[in-house]
Amino acid sequence: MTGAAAARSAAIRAARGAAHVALVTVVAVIFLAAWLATGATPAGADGGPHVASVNSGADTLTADGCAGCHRAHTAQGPMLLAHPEEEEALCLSCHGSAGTGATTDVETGVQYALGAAGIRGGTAAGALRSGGFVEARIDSASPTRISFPRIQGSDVVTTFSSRVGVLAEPAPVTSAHLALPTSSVAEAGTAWGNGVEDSGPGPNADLTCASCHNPHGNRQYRILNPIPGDGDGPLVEAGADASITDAALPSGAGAAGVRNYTIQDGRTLQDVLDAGLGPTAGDYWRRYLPWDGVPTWNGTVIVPATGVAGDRPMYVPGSATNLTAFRSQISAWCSACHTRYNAPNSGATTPSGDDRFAYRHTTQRTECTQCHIAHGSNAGMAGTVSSAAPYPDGSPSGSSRLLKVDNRGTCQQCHDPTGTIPYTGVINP
Amino acid sequence: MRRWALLLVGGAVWLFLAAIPTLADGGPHVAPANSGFSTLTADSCAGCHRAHTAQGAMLLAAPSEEALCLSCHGADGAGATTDVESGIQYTVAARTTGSPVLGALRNGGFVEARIDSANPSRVTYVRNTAGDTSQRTKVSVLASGQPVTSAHIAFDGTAVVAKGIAWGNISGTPGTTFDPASNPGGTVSGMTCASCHNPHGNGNYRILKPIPAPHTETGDTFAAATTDIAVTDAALPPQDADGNFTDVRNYTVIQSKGGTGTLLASQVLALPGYTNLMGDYFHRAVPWDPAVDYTAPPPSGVTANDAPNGLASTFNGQINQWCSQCHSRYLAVTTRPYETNSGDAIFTYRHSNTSNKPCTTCHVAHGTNAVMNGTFSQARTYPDGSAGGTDSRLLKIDNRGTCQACHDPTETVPAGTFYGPTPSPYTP
Repeated sequence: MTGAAAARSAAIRAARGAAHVALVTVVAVIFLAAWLATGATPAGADGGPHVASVNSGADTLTADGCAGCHRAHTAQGPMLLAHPEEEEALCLSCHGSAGTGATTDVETGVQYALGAAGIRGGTAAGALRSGGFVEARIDSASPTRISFPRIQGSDVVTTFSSRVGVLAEPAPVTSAHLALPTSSVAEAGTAWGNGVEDSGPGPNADLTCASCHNPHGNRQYRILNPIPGDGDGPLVEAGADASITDAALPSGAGAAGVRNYTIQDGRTLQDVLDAGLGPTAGDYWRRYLPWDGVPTWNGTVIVPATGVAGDRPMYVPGSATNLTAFRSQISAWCSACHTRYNAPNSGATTPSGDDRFAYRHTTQRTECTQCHIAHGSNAGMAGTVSSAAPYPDGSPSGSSRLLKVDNRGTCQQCHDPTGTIPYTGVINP
Repeated sequence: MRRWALLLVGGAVWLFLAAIPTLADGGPHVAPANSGFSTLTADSCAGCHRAHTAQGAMLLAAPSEEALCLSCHGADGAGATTDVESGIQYTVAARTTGSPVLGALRNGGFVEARIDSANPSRVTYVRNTAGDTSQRTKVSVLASGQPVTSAHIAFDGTAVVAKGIAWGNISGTPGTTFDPASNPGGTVSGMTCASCHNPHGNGNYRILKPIPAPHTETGDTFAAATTDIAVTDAALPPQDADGNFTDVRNYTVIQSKGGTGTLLASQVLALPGYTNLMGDYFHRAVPWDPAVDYTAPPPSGVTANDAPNGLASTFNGQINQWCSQCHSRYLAVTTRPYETNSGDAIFTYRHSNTSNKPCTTCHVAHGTNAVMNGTFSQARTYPDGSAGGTDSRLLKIDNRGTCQACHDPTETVPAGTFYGPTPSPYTP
């Protein structure tokens, strides 16, 4: 070997060393994804063509998944997508109500069990965390609430945990982040709160599935784009990445290799099926896991909660790898678009300086997904006041704003502004 | 026309005898001889034609055109350095099984190819001042041939399926004329060597026909191009005082930056550290890895475009135009064709052929051994909607690794990251 060649080899080794560090961090994902890449679709394994380590080249430079969605010369959609018209058509070919390529049906808000052929079966496993774009299964009319004590200064005050259950049959959505042709949702087309202070209600935005998700995978929770957006303005896209930690890809066979996308506990679809609670189990509110595992009052002191405070998607009791950073991360992510909704704990009492989003509910202690779902909600806004509540631009709207509870029941899930409910485990209604 | 053809035939005679097996390049295919430009007593006509005892159409000495071509260029041929069945070039024309191999042919082979399609190597680098990253990839050479999985001609004994459609072919201006009705392309009745090559020579790179012509019969709908496309050739190899060639062209994937250092077999053999496993089938950039700081845009000129003819500034554009003579609607050199609707019912949005990624970046012309065994790749239909099976579409990398050769859609790979095996030799 010549001196120049040796120097080059050393440089290559150094560069490879750096790459190796990155590889080590995803080594588990890589091995699992190798299986997934070949067995994913239509074999029902999780990730399908969306596994980052496959599409990035980390574990193979002969990926197959590209052909699942793209055509180089005969594409029917922009960005060389195989399907015509809208990007949604391609996504829904697997993830729609008529799709069979994925267990998740984002149109009707349900995750199915695997069928005999290893693809989507006909049995519902549970309701999707983010609802659905056409129908959702949120029992928004019938929340249940339990009071518990909380220290506030030198006082013990009342707060609440709630449970928002699951409907046996889906109901049409009343708001959604996408207005699919098959839904009755009227898309406002406005990214509320996006932009700098005093920049109005927000610019227009044209959302697609890929506005929020990177279908190629990116190691983020739910393959969320670190910088969401529509790519062509006038939406003001974030200047920095918003990272959301993901759980490791599941490694099992069959349903054990499929993630749990429902509101039930469990890391995998198999966990959900093994629990045997049925498709109407779970809690859309998730302030405590379980909802009633709250602190109690023994007459003298507060007894610590038996449950876990705060939402953790794909929660496994006792696991060291639960997504404990989820709440703060998801608020930061949502705020990448809804910039001026991001509010400190003092936001309700301290003016932001913005003439429109002046005082704001905290998004720190209460994450965005505590009150809202991401895809679509069937919550009803039939009340006189709720049905007339204007959008931030002043236009009237009966939209349910992706809330999980009818009317403004959302407020009541944590607050008793009357001060009449004791913190002694009172269950309402 | 007949007179012109006779002139060609006459001129070829001399060349044929002079060419084989004396290692001379061009064989009976040199235009000046066959055209009559250099002689009107050519000998080489007799190498391929019989005036009265021909065994094949067009007075060919062999039963078929392929049989004739393969008598020199086939695996058992001994009249040319190039074995287009096995996808290799030998160092001598009078070759036998044990003859030294110069390298792997750029265009693969019709029966076997030596493309290491399963093991590409890739480096991620910063391509512009905004910090955007891209990838550069090498597809190496196998030590032995593997059965082809797609080819432009379906030879007996291969798994290649002749679909009889020139995909994307349409009457009109390539890249401009489209069809709002579903029209996968003009039908043809077959492909032969002479569909693309003029065996008499014509001064074009690889004696490519300015207007390629698949075999058609009554009822076929293939629309031939109407405008010549030239692909500039390199100069012929040097000749001795008697006019005999003293060197052979390099038809392999072994290429130095700019191509001028590897136009001839002798230049290839003289490369430092030469082995016949050298070469990069992807050749989007030559060399594939500039081996400079990957975290900043490469300095101008550190690599060059693909240039098998030694003309790095023009080859890509010319070969694009030439391929599009038949595959008209694949030509996508307009602005952002991947997000601009062409108006065609099938070729609606199309991958760009610009920015140093012509047709020959992703595809070989003869045949490839790339494997399409992935779930999605196997499920891909042809443009007419029929099942594509494991047809590899002349791609150079297994499944859809071709996409990954340039793209990281996850945006998770930092500059300076290497994936894949370390090529050996590393370059070229």
